[in-house]
Amino acid sequence: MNDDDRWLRELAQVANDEKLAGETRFDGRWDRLSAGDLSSEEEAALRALAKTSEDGREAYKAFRPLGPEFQARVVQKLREQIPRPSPAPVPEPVPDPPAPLPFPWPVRRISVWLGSGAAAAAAAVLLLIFVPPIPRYTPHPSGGVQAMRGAQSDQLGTLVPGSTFDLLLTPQTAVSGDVVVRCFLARGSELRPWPVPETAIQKVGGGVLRIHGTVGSEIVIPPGGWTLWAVVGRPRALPDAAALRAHLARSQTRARGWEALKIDLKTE
Amino acid sequence: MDRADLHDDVDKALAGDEPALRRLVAVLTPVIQARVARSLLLWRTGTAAGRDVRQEVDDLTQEIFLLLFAENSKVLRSWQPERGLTLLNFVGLVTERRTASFLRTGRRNPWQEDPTLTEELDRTSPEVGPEELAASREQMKLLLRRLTEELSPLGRHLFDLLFLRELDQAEVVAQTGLSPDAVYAWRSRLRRLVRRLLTEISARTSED
Repeated sequence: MNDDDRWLRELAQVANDEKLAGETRFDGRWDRLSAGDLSSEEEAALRALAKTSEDGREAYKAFRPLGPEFQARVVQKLREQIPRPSPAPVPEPVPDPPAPLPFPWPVRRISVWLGSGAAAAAAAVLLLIFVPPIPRYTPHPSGGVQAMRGAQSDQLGTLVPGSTFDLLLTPQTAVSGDVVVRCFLARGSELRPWPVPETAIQKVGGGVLRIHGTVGSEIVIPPGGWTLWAVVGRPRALPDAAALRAHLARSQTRARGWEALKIDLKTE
Repeated sequence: MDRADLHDDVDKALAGDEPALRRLVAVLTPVIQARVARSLLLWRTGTAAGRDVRQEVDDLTQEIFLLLFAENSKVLRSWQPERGLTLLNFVGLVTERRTASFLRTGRRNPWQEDPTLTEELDRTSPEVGPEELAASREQMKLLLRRLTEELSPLGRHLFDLLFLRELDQAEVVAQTGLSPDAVYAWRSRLRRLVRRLLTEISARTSED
């Protein structure tokens, strides 16, 4: 065993001793006092302790339930702190179907005339017209290792194995309907899909999405600097790598039903 | 409230659902209060021990809640149930860490993601021999307090698994879901952290 492990084991022994001493001085009844779960006999015993010793009196003051007023005060303060979703917006009107094409033939005959492949492409185009739009999204990345102590902890540090990676994707207004995320990694001229396990993606509600995991476990990224493109949108609207590359080449990061959010990463 | 309901309420509270937030506050208040109370009564010394304990419990308990939800709920969002820590244990460790920091400095310091992960840790950990690091029981208690203050809930959980419960690598991997490399990395970080804190405490003792 090296000396550092010896210190750690001694520390653990001290921690264990302190835990036992703490439990002897303040047994489980005190926790139940805070929770309001004492039996009447237990409460009487603790009140008696409070009457007969200064330690008991201090303990009773400290553990006595804080009460519903305290909880209401905390909820009020947290309401001011937690961003609340906007009230459900009036859904944007789904555009009317386009006017029938001025063809003299019925559509059924068009598919026969065009061939099934082209008809499928035409159907895909029509499908995209009816994809509900999504509001603007903002990425909130955090985690990794900060280079300097005291650095802003809501900024993303270097991703080293064992550190956490958290990416929250929040819409400007609450979104109804299904919204998903598909990720890509880019460096130089390379753009490749970045598969994230489903267990690492959470649909929080109102269109809010979260990717969260441990680097080296759920989050696997080759070393170096990368640009992460988190594409948020309607399931049927999300572009694949080729389509995204084409959009980015035109400096287009948003289209009907999806938006690509850029996050710079550094991994080791 | 069973575990699934609690997870559900955490998600909803983070999304701004107020009934879920109320339920979460109701469940967490006694847990946080009891840890704050226990820590204050066991660790307060000197002038700190003279202050009104009820007021301090009230203030610190409220502060823990604000800490959990600050900066887009960064601390609460860092809870990973798959690492083996229940929400109540996680919040309890957050509470102990914050209380230890407050008792040492008297200040509400910003929450640090995990100082054991900073690169600076390597630069400020000189090699010191065991004869230079001999520590009394009181110094060990102080060291433990500093460790509590420095470690994130996950770091403290790993300290407990590796050194308090002395689980082997495979068992820690199974309990936390971390990779063997990540567990090994944590063991190394804990060693470096203890070395740094021991040096800090020894230096302070020799100045006294």
